[in-house]
Amino acid sequence: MNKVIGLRDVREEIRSGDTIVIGGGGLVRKPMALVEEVIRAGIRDLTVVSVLGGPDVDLLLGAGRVKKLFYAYVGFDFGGPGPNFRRAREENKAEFIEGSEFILISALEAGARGISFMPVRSGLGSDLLRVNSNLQKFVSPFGGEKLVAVKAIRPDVALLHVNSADPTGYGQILGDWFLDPLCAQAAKKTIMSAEKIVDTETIEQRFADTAIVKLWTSKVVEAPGGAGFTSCYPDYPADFVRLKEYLGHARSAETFNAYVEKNAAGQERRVS
Amino acid sequence: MDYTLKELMVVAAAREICDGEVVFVGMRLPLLGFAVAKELHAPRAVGIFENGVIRDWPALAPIFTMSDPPNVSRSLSCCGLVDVMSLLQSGRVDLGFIGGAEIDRFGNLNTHWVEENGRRVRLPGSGGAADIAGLAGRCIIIMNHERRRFPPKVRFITSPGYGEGRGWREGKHLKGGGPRRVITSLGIFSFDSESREMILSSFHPGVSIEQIQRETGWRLKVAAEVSETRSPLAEELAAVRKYDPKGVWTNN
Repeated sequence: MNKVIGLRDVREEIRSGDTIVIGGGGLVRKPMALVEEVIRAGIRDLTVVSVLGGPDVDLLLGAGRVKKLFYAYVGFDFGGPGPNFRRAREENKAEFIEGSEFILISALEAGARGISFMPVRSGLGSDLLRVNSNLQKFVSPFGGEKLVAVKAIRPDVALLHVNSADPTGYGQILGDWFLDPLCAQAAKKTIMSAEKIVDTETIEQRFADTAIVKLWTSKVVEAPGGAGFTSCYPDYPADFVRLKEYLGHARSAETFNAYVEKNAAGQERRVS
Repeated sequence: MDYTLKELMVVAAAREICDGEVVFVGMRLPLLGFAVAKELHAPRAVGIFENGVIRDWPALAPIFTMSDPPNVSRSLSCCGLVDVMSLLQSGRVDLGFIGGAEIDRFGNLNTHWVEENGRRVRLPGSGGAADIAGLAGRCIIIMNHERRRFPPKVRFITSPGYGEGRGWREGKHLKGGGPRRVITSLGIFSFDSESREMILSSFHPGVSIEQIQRETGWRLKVAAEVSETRSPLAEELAAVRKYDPKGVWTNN
């Protein structure tokens, strides 16, 4: 089955109001081409799940497309917190549900396993338990240990970017996988962009690099440079010049609106 | 002094790592500390990065994110976050490095929000810090020492230290051992084994205890045997500079 679609067709796969989970982490392998297409397509009121958010989440927040955000972190590593994230958070432009990395991971694991919650030890002693009602303390039926139940998250769509994919939906990642396989397993459907589309035999030759299995994949998009300005090892590193430009545009809501109008709305993506 | 303050802090971090330990490595100073420990006294320590990278040896070229090519190339495994978080929860991580915007006298850390001029300023959030603080065998905290960052009680406990003191972690059913040391830009602190309060154990060269008190938001407890922080040895400095030859992370 050929699952390849064009970048413009992605808008047919996501609806306003959907829950989306985004792969990659921080400044690494963020599916920026797909995220920008979501913005161009006018999709809004999204619930976004991001364990380690970077420019993907910051851009969606800055463009006003997020109704609710589940997150452990939104920032640019040494570049500090996401400027749009900070504004949106301080001005309550969306609902923010805070967790730690392991808490968010566990919510997705529960979703991936089709079960209502995941037991963890994370969150004990942290005020996260106070502010996040998706976390509930309970007593283990086996030995009585005090644990935290993390409510499952089952996103409608996962957005991922990989090094290569075949038309049937196998995806290979050559650097760290972060949570991409988990995102794909938890979501009802997965849209995966790839630096390049290869034939299935090429996937077979390097099967150990296969992170995404076709059973999880709904659509495949060829998008060279599709993670830019974040990195996609070994194809390209993070582009700190474009990162700096982005942070410049994001310094105020007004300048960022102008930037979104110019770059994300309207035209096709500039391929780096 | 023939070294920078940050070099001193890196060396102090390195001295906390024992040979053979599994270390949850952060970025910047702890990462360099791990490199120095590997070079000198802890050649069998293993470094784990949040993104899933596991390395026996630190990358030689400077990295700005954990997934920069020098960190990924020649790593032993890129296994993914689920795996490294599971190592943490199952008690296989000896030591974790964390930091925060605020720390209080019981070593609780806040990375959620602070107040500046009466306005609530939002920070990036926990990341993995709350997990590490709760679950690692012990934690080393690295902080810039400023009064606004050292309130008597943090506004929000992102990463739990000793909460309200003695017995608190046990009451919260926390398995990890909690903070062992706080390495600041002015000195090094331990925690009282009874009260669990932070105690000044050493002040950096050129820094006075009065100065540290001024930059601390509560009445400082000082160890009876308080002394000056040991200066880096030549071999320690050589190791720092091998991994940070241009001073990207360690120039003041």
